[in-house]
This record gives sequence, structure tokens and C-alpha cells, in this order.
Amino acid sequence: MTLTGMAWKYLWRRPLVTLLTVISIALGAALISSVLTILRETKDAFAGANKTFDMVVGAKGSPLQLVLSTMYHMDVPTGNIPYSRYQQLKEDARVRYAIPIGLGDNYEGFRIVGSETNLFSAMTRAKDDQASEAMLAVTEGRIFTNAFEAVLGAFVADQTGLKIGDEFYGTHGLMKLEGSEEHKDFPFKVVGILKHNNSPNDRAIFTHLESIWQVHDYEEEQHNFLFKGAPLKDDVEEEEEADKREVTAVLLQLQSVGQRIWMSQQIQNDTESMAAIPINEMHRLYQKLLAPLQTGLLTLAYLVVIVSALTVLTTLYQSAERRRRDLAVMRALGGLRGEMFALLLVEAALLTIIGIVLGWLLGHGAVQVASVHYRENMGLAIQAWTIDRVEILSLLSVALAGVIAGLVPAAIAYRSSPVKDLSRV
Amino acid sequence: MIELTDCQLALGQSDGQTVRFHLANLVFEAGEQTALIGPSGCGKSTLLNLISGLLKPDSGSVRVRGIELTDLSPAKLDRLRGEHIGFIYQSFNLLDAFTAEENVMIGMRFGRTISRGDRLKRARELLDRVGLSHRMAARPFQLSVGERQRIAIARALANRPTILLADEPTGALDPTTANRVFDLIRELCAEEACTLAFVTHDLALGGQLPLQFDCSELVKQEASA
Repeated sequence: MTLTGMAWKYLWRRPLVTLLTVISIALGAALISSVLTILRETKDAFAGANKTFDMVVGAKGSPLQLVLSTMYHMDVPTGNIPYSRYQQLKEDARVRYAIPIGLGDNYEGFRIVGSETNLFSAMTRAKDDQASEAMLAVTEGRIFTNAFEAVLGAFVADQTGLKIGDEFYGTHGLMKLEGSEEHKDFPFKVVGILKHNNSPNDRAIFTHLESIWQVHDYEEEQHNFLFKGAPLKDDVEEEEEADKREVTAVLLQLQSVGQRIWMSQQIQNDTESMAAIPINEMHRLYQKLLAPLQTGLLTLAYLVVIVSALTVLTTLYQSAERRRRDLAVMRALGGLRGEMFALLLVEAALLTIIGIVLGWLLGHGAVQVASVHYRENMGLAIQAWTIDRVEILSLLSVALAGVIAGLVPAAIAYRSSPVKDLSRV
Repeated sequence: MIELTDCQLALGQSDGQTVRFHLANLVFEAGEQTALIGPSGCGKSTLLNLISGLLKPDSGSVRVRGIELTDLSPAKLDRLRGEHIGFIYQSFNLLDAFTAEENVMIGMRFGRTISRGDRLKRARELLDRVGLSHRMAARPFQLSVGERQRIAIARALANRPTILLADEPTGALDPTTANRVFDLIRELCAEEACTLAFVTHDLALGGQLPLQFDCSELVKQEASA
């Protein structure tokens, strides 16, 4: 019989105490694993979604709000900027791609994003050194070419059941609200469905910018006619109106990433609009919100681990005290002091390892459950069953704490006197 | 085989006086069966602990198989005990967490004389020899006292020791069982060619062994210096 086999038998001789000790370690490890995984994956998911564009230009306000509303389809936009601003940016020699974004409506809570067809060609990601793949590739149908043609994100298609050829009506606003009026005069027709790309775009409906303008121009005209008595516009007036059109934001891909800072400052100083650098904004969000959250939760997790280590110490200390006779018998049978020390240490290691494995499964299982929420509400794909160096080191520190806790009872076993302990019986 | 010469050991204080163990000379030849007789507290168990190396004398010599125990490191003493000495106790000292078979195998685990592959076979042979082949999977608390002592005998002999130290092994048993256990120990010692030191305060039982040693004068109280 090996020392590990003997340690195992001793542990399961008191199943309730062993189970409670394992659970306490598992809770600490689960907390560490889940906090580290969810924050790491959130950071990666946000970072993955903002690699395509170097800059977002929009109305002045919060840069983070601008990035979240245009790239992640969260939060409300900062306002609108003139369409002419988009045209200027498009002509700027430093710009490789300029993509206009128009927001304002939703269908069943999924945002309708007005843009142009170059959105699809701009959104690529590196596949390897030689090639890149489209991030917004259709799996069914085609991309839009005319107004009121809609391309659905994969999650939208899954959730709404809309198919190619189906029609739907947009609702005013960026989220689903009870009583919101549908734009019954402007049906959208589904012409394409996108592949899953594990980004917030899975939760968006893409259409031509023209659709957004037409719906809102008409809506404004009707509103003015009904409530202010203004006459309906004729064709000439409508053309003039077209010059005053606006977009919510412009996504920019620059010829050189090095121009980001200088160009954003120039936009900031020289125009009425604002330029936000997505990667900086997300980093700021992480530093301001997620990093303190991570510190707080990890502090809590390590407190749980310290309590768990003390539980291991108490459990094994009591066990060693109770087993003084057994240890003395083993010494009388020829057992070495070192073997008695090792026996208690192996018990501590077994308790800790089982606790950590259980905790890892529990923690990542919780992340798996949370990933559904992330996907449904933010369109972010969280990989639950991954591990990185930080998590490995953190869990090893839990193991170390458990083994250190085992040193005290192991020392008792090492120093025990067989003659004294046998004569106690 | 076993030779103790002028062994002295302070055991503690009592009524302001030092309790001291003193043994002038005692020899056990190989294969001999000796009864160590005397009343409780006379030093019989101390004598066994000196022979096994669990206690070290303050002065004097303890030689086992020609090896001077007082010169050995604690680890070497542990190894010698595991390889050459078997113990049987009055209170059996079985390990409750383990089955009868595992108790015998743990004896071999620490004794290191039986190869890992042969341990199970040896344990089963011994349990069969003591008449407990049907109780191998039982835990100590599921066994009668007589059965427990037979398991302890099997464990003590598992490493094929050259010396068997029995510390009042029949003290907790009824007379009939005590006689059976006594006979079993003698038989097995003869079969395994073991030197037996059998502690008892039962003169009738001790008288059945070929040699007796009176331990009643081993422990004395002396005025503290």
C-alpha cells in the first residue's frame, strides 16, 4: 500500500469533514478561476471586436460612449454629425476606409445599423501572414445593395426566426420598449444572413444608410405636418434636405496606425466632431472598471483561500492528534519519521488538489453559464474552458497554501514519540 | 543474538526520587523463546522498547544481531526495526482505517523486506495461517478481540522478523482465547525461526516457555543526586 493510498483511506474515514474541507478549497479556487477567466475573456472579447477600426468620429461627448454605441452596439450615441463630415474624411489621404454609421431604430431590441456596402469589405481580420478573412461574411443570401434591404447578424436570425425574403418593420429607438411605434410604411426585406463571428455584430441588423434617412425624414415631415402644421415637402425641398443629412458616426481605418493620435487631436481641435480611438477607450474602461473589480474580487477570493488553508490545517491537525497512536504503531513497524511527515503532507496535498480541480470545474462551469448572458446581451463570445499562465499561477498558489497548511500537522507526526504515544493507550 | 549489558535509563521522578531502569546483563540466543515475568510497572515494556530501539539507554549497550543500537541514527534504527523486529501489543494496536488484509500489508510496507509484488500473497498466507482467511476484508472494529490479536500476530510476522517482541499479548483476552493465542504465537515463532521475548504477568503462562526472566528488580527508585 502506498502512502497516497493510505492518505486517501484516512481522508475518507471522516467523509463529512473531508468533504467540507474540499468544498471550502473548491469555493476559493472557483472564485479565483471564474474571476480571472471572465475578466480575461471579457477583455479579449472587447479587444477582438475593436481591432478592425483605428478611430471613430462622432458628435462631441463621451468618447467611450461613442465607441460602445458604434462598435459594440451598446449605450446610446453621442449625437449626429453632418454627412459632409463623412465625405471629407473619405477623401482624406490618411484614411484607407471610412464607413458611415446611422443609428436610430431597432427590431425586437436588435439595432438597425445603417451603413454602406464598403462596411463588408473593410471588416476583415488577419487569417495568417498572407491572407485575411471577412468578418462580416454572409452565410445565406447576399449583402444589401438598395435601401430597405437588410442583412441579419447570426444571433438576430437565430432569435427572431427571420429568413431570406421575410419582411419586418423597424421600431423607433435603440431598444425594445413597450408601446413603441413601428415604421409600418417602411418594411425591411431580409436579403442576407451573416455567419457567426462571435462579436457584437452578431446582434446587429445591417442595412443601407439610405433606409435610416428615408424613415427619419418621413417621420420628421409627418410630425411637423401633424403637430406644427408645416406643409409636406416637394421634390426640390427633399433634395435640399439631402444636403443636410447626418450620420451617427464614421468608422475609420487609417493607412498607418501611427497617425491615430495626431489625427484624432486634429479632429478634436479643428472640427465640431470628436475622434475616439477604440483601443484606448477600451483600455481606459478596463483600467477604470474591470481592473479594480478584478482586484476586489481576487482579494475576496484569496481571503476564502486563506480560510480554506486554515480549514486544512485544523482538519489535519485534529486528525494528526487523533492518530498519534496510529503514527506510533507505524513507527514501531519500521516507518521512518520522514514517512510520517510525508503521509500528512500527502493528505494536505490530496485535499487541496481535489479542491482545486473541483473549484476549477465549478468556476469555469459558472463562466459557461455566464457566457450565455454575455452572448445574448452583448454579443461577446466568452470561451469558458480556457486557462492562462496567471490562472495557473494563482491556482498553484492555492495549492501551495494548502501544502503549507499541512506542514504543521506533518511536523507533529514527524516529532511524535512512539513510546509515549503507545503508552497513552 | 540480543545482548543487553549494564543498561541504565532514567524514567522520571516519583515522590522526589528518580525512577531508574537498570539491567546488568541479559542475553537472548537466536530462536529462543523467553518469558519476561514480573508485576505491572516493573520495566518489562521498557526492556522491549530498548531491544527494539524505540528507547535509547542513558548508558550501557544494546546489541541486536551484532549491531550496537546505541550507535545507530534514528533512521537506521527505524529500518532495523522494520526488517528484524515484530511487535505484538496487549491492545492489538491495529489501524482502524484499514481492513485486516491492509493492516498486514502496512506492516510489510514499512518493513521493506517483502517485495511489493509478494505482499498481498504473503498477507493472505499469514491470515490463512492464523485462521482468518474469511475475515480479510473486515475492519478491526468488526472483529472479536481474539480475531484482532490474531491479525496483530500476522502483521508482526509479515516481514519474517528474526525477533518477535510480545508485550502482554494475552492480557486483554479470556483464558481460553489467551491460551489459543499463546500457542499460536509459539507455533508461528518456531515455524519462522524467530527469537521470542514474551512479556506476561501470568506465571502459569510464562512457565510454559522454556526460559523465564524475572523483571521484578529492573526498576528502582533512587534518591536524586
